[in-house]
Amino acid sequence: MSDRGREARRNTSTVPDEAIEAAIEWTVKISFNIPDENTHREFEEWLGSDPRHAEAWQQMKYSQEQLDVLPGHQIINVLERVDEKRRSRGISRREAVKWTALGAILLVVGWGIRNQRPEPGETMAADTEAGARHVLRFSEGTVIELNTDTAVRAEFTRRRRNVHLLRGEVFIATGPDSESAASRPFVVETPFGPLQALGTRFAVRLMTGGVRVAVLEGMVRLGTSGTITVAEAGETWILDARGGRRLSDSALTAIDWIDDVIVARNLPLSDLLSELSRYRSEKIVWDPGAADLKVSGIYHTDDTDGALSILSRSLPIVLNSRPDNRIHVSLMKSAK
Amino acid sequence: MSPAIEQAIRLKIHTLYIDHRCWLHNWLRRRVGCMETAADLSQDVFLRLLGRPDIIHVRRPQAYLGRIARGLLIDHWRRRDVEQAWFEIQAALPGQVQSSPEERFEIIETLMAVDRLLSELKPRMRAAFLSARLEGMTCPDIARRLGVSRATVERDIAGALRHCHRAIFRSEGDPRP
Repeated sequence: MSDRGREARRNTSTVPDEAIEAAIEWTVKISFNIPDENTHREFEEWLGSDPRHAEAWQQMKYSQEQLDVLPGHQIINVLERVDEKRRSRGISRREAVKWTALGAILLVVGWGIRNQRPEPGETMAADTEAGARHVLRFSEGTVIELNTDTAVRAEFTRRRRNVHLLRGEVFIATGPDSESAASRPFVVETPFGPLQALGTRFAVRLMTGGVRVAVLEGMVRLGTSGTITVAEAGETWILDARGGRRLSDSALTAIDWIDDVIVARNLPLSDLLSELSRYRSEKIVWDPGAADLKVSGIYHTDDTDGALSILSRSLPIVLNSRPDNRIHVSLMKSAK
Repeated sequence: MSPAIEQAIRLKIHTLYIDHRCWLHNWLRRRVGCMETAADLSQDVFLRLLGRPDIIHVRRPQAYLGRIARGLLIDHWRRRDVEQAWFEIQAALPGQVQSSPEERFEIIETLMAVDRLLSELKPRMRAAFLSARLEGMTCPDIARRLGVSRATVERDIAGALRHCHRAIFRSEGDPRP
């Protein structure tokens, strides 16, 4: 234990439980949510109002220091592999706990309730219109989130879990499928080939010339035998008629939409406009002259009107509503 | 601890060792399937008895020794699993700088502690906490991913934080390293 830890332990008795509870609540508010200015101010006030508060805050930080030993995703990788090894030995995490902790029977009962048996077959289909979102949940734990203008059909059988991406963009977090005898393969079928998820969270977008896959966790196998490539966590790949190729983009960029935003970093205006266009029923068109203006910023996909008005204020452009409801973007006269 | 009690403990350990050594060794060997590991672990069990004044009054010595042995066995498997997982991941990373044996030891020890700590959490609580703490996700995102309400996620994370805090600051006696 570090000196700081020993010091903190020595002070244990001086920190009342209420201060610890408050520190826990603040950690949730400040570290695991996006706090506004008010919250920040209130937190600073709390922290400064009593030395025991600062001590409680220090203890909270110290108690989780072990989680900084490696980058977060590496720790998750290790923990997942350890779990797999335990499962393969027939000892679940829960049983390991049962052995060490008394009274674990209650927990095991809870575990049983949480895991319902999957239906032998399950079929779901869903689609979204421009600007809409939808979430599909399956009994074995898989969650599929549909972005704007998207259509999917999912068929889970005894042997396979198949998802057909017909249009648009989805985010998939595959379920553990722990109740079926062997975890059933999870495959996303696309016109450019299948994507097989290997214990994974990933985003898939169907585009004109190919399908884009961004992997956040685990791995995704792209294509059929012969042309198989594997996309790993953090990577973004395109699968098209020629096979798979890796893009330099971070996988995180490809899932900004989950947070209802487009994060532009020195992006051509035309790219941003066509992205915004996906979230609107009235499309956006633009003059070639305006296409190459560079934009940076965070634009909200749930308020594309707002995004357009920010653009019109920060760039030398003019917006016009056309009779056919399209928005027309042109360069300001003086800037030409 | 007074010298008299220390003496009594040593005597008791000695008796336990003579009476139950073979039983314990067989019990462990059946589980690890390796004579040497079983021998090491049973030595460790008796070492653990030092500094435990309560053994003087133990009524069912085999149950008592078995409980300690189970704890050690779980740690033995945990160490093996964590080490293997860590080495597999290192091997898969291209161009990774080799870490020194001391660094590796410290990393493995810490990972074991993390695994031990998080094993005790309910699955959903564990998942929520990992997403928040290790993946930098916010509570609304986690709620969406897990398909539960944001309040539930926040309660789960608070529970996990409380658990981490208790493990270090409120544990009775000697905390694990």
